Amino acid sequence: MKRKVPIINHKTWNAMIDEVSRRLPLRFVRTSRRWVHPWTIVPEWSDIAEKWVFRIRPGFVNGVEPEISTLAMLASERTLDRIEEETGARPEKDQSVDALITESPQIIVPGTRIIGKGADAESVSVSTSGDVKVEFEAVPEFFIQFGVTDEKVVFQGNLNSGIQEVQYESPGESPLLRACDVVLYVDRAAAKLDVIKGNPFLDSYSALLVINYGRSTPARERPWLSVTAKYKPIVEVEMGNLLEGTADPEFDAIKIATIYFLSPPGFSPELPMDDTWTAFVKHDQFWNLAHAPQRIPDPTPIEPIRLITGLAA
Amino acid sequence: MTTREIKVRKGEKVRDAWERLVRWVDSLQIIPDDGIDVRVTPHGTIVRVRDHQMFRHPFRVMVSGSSVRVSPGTVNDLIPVITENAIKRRIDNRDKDGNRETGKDYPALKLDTKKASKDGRIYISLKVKQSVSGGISGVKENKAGEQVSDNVEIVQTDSAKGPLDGFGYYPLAFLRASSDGGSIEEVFQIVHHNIRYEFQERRPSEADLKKDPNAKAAGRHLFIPT
Repeated sequence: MKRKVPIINHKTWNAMIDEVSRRLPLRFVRTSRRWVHPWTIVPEWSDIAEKWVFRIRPGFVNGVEPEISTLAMLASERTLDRIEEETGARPEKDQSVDALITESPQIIVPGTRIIGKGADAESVSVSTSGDVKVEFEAVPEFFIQFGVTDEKVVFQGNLNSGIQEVQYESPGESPLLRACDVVLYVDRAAAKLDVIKGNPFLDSYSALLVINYGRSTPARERPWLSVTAKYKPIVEVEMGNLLEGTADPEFDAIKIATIYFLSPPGFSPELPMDDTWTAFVKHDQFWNLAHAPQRIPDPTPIEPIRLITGLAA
Repeated sequence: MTTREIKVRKGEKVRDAWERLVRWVDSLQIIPDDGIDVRVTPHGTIVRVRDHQMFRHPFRVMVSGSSVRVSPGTVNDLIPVITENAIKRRIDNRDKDGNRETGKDYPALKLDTKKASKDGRIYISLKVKQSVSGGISGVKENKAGEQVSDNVEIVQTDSAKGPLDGFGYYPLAFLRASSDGGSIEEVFQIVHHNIRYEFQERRPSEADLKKDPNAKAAGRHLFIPT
């Protein structure tokens, strides 16, 4: 039996919407002065750049504020004045400039990663039985309550029998989640393995392995911030790795925060983020930082490792 | 989503409008967050925003005109001093014996904006004289049993590192002077904690002494928030 759909007068409906919206308590005003910790990030939509940007509450490393790259159109007058004074020319609005974070720049979010539906795999592993397992960055619990769904891809079969990818469809209306990381870098001296070749007959060794501390480029005067889609922590280089040729990075890095962007439900994954998205920040650092090598490099030359040949002995 | 999108035109299907209304209601869900508690009751939803009081941390730098006051903080449990009218006074407004100074305001450092760096930077910094043992020099016990020393001082410098004069410097705050040097435009607090100080000495190597038999020990001053 076909049900009859009720007819509601459009004026009645619109009056109901007006009444409901009037009664909703949607505005909260915080009147107290809140203490804001260093490195606090405040994202906002920029009508000038037509992109998401953020501001950052200045933080300091050893009392020195970092710099960050941004477009001249998003830099403050103070930055532009300083650069004009240093270089003799005022930057064009599309030009990239290095702003100090005490100069209140807006910084563009250049690229983001997808979390949840549509994400790229973080790792793919194959078990001894040939089963393929794919792992994705988990959706933070906070965003699950907004309806963000995890990416789920399962491979049926195994390497021997043939593999078929099975995609589980999530509700099309679920919102999309993207994120980027803000990372702080500080230059430092890096360990480098130098090989000094010798003559086994004259020097009693064929090679000397010496560890030196230095840099290939001059160290930057101040720390700097960078925005990246996904930060991967730097792995400390051990002596064994140096022997294998692994380079010791010439900087230290630490993640300051992750900025998450949440779309409205039903947003097409093909479209770029716009002002209908909502930004959230998860901070990793809350205080100013001190940076120093663990110990002062010893002024006494390190006794090199000698590779002695049988002939020389 | 705005209410304009939920309103209907004459003749529009109820189901479409209803689905838009449901989406709108869903988007109005109140989400608990840091400092925001949400409690759903049969009588309505209670949203409590926890009040964050002003954080009164040690070494808060306050600028008033051309004078700077610093709220009390400690370096190795010592209260630093400010030189005011050629007299060293503790920043907690107590005398050397730990008694409250009567009839006196907290000591203020007189700013000299002419000593700002080229780009108008002024730092309010701790200045520490190190002892041979790696601590702070000249520490004594006063009548109240407190450790005191005049060798932890708050001074004005034009860089975060301070001058290279053998003392240890650490910036408490960075002040930006106006271009004409007439006023302070911004204050950026750097230190929010009490400080532990250590001096790590690096004695001259044999090679250093060969080059210069009078080569002195060098080292680094570590200021660690506690």
